Amino acid sequence: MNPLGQYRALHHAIALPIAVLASWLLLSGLPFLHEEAPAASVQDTLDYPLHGYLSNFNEHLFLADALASTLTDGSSIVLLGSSELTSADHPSKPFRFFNNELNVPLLALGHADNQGFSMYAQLLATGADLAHARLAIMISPTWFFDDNGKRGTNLASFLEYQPSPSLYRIQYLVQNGDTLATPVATYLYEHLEQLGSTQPVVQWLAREGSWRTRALYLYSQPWYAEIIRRTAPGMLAAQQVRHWEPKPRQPISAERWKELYDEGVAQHLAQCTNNSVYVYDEYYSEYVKGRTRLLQAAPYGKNREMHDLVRLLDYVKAKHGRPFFVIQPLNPYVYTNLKEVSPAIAWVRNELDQRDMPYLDLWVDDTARFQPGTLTDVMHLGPLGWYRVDSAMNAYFR
Amino acid sequence: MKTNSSLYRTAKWLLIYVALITGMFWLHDPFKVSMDAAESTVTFVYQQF
Repeated sequence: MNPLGQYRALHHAIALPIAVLASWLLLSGLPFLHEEAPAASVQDTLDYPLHGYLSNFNEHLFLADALASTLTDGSSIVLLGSSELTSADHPSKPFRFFNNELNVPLLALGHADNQGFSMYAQLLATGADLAHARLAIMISPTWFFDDNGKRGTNLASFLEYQPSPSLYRIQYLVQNGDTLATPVATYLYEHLEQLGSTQPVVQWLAREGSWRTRALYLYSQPWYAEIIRRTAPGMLAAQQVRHWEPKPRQPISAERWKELYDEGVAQHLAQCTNNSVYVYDEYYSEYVKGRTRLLQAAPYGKNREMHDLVRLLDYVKAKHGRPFFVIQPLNPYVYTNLKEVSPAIAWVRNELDQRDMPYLDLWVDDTARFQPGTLTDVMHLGPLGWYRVDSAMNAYFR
Repeated sequence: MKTNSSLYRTAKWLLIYVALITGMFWLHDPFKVSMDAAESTVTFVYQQF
């Protein structure tokens, strides 16, 4: 480098650090650079004990905090599910039956595409020990078949249940070396190209998901970590709650369960007048129209959802939890190759058995064992199915 | 001050760097984070124009 170039480099070498320092001092005193404390402005209030139904975290950004409390103290039953929670409404649905008939607080959470990995991440974000949790998980067989099985939880669905406050809680776990949390970083890394220029907490987690990105972004990770650290107080705020006192639990006799089962079957059959496959009329006219369906089960090595279920089970086990699982059926009149895909459900049973997890098994693979009313359409529980779930959960969560 | 002196040139670059840094932070405050984890961090910059 010639002497002139050396002098020019020297001017920059002196000017730049002084400029950084001067800018920092200048910006610290100005209002437009601020540490975010947005909690107060966007806080909602939830009844505690938690009860009712929530579709996702969109309107309840600090829900992970409330879930952490209820999973720790067991004040509510928490039911994680997917599309069955939003199918045709009926008093038999647990968030109606437990809250209205049994006076037992129950919060149902989820809608379509809320699959195993999403549920694992929701529980992870709470950070709660599950020893006293009253937790139930609906397993849908469709998770394991066709594209759902190969793909696992999709990114959009994952993010619906992971607002920034939840991801800040997970980021804290990852930063402190909690290996139970690292699959979230790996998952985000795998979806890095879809994420674009998202929030710093997502970018930090995604880049922690692989040694390659950790090395590539070695220069920027501390900066993102600093942004996360400075903005954490607003993100880690407690969920505002309004306490209420549940009424005494309403007992229910075996005779009453029998009545409810019979009523459920009769109500469902009254809605199935245009078909003989026990699907309610509107659904049959719009989606079935006399057609049958075939399912494809990807093998374990290519079935991401199976790996995600194992992760979910291992997580609840590590956190001393013993949730109640429900294996849901499919309509064998419409899905005509259920015997072929039954090994996938046998695999689910085996994984639950290996970990000593209790479950209600509603799966059938032939029409002879299918009870009309168990499903309302081809895959979502009907009144009889829900009442059987209610009965089993009522016995388990004494 | 002579315009070809080292002091002048250093001061000139100091001012340029301060303007660039404060301008960048004014357009995009890195500590303004969103509750929506998927929200783009650069949206705010684009909205300025």
